[in-house]
Amino acid sequence: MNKSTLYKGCLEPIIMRLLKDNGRMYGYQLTQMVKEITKGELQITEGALYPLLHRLEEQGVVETEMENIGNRMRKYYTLTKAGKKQTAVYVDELRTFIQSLNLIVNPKTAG
Amino acid sequence: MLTKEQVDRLFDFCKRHYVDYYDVQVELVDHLANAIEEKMASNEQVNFEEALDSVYAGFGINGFSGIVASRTTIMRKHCRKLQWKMFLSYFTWPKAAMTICLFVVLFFLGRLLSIIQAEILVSALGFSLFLFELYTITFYGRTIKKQTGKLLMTEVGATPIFWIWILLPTNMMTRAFSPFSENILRNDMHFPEYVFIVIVFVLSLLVLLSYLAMMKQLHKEAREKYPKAFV
Repeated sequence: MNKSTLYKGCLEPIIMRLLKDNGRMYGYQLTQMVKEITKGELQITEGALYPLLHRLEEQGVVETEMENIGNRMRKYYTLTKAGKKQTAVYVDELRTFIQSLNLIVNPKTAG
Repeated sequence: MLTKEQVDRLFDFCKRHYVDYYDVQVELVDHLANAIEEKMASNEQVNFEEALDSVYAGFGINGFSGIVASRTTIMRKHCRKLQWKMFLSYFTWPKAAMTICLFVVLFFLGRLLSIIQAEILVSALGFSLFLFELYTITFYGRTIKKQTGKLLMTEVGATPIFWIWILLPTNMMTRAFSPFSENILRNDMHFPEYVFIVIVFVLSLLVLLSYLAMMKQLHKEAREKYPKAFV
């Protein structure tokens, strides 16, 4: 099974959690951090990341600021107040989901 | 760090791959530049063009198109929400006072005026709406002209509402010359028709005002976020 289809629904809480822990981040940095933390197991594609970030911005979950870094501009994303609250809820939901999955994948140890 | 020429080449690369808007390009250019810098740092044999091809391949067969499409959809939604918020503000204090005053004045004018005068008033309202639309279109044109780069946030989101631009003012202006015009306000049965026209006029005016407010807001945001698109 394609790994990306497995974690597709978890992308939102993953990104929000990273933003909560690291403050402001830019797109490429997010992809690299996920890769680094999971030792290359999870790789977020650009085609999935940017539409998600843009949607979160429109929903008021994240806000953006532009910064000049030499000869180009960089767009940073930061969680809004509402975004921080939502992150806690999403991460809890993700944790419950992982526990439920564990009950199915490892029924003996879970019992 | 990439040179200015290499960064310009990335902007050009985005344009050649159908990313026309600066506000979308700027983020993609930074992403490409970061990935290229990393590739070139990890392997000194790789040149800029090879690194670019390799990084772009990572975007999949659709390239940038998915990102542009999603950005466009989200921007349109953002503009609709913003305009709706501006429109609703005319029904909350203090702007609601202006809306009520406008409606009440036109309502009582309809009561006081003769049939012919009311016809002329309706035509004048239609003409004023038409002039205001011309101003709005000019304002939109002037706003876009101030930009040196195309911005998705000010161009794509600002879709005009066709029936208000053309149909309504034309219909209102021609009422005075219509063969049925003498029937209007002849008796009480026709007064509701006048009230209906006034309601549609006031609502249309508010739609135009909220459109202008939305454009101003988008332009302000664009200036703050992308000053280079206005140099």
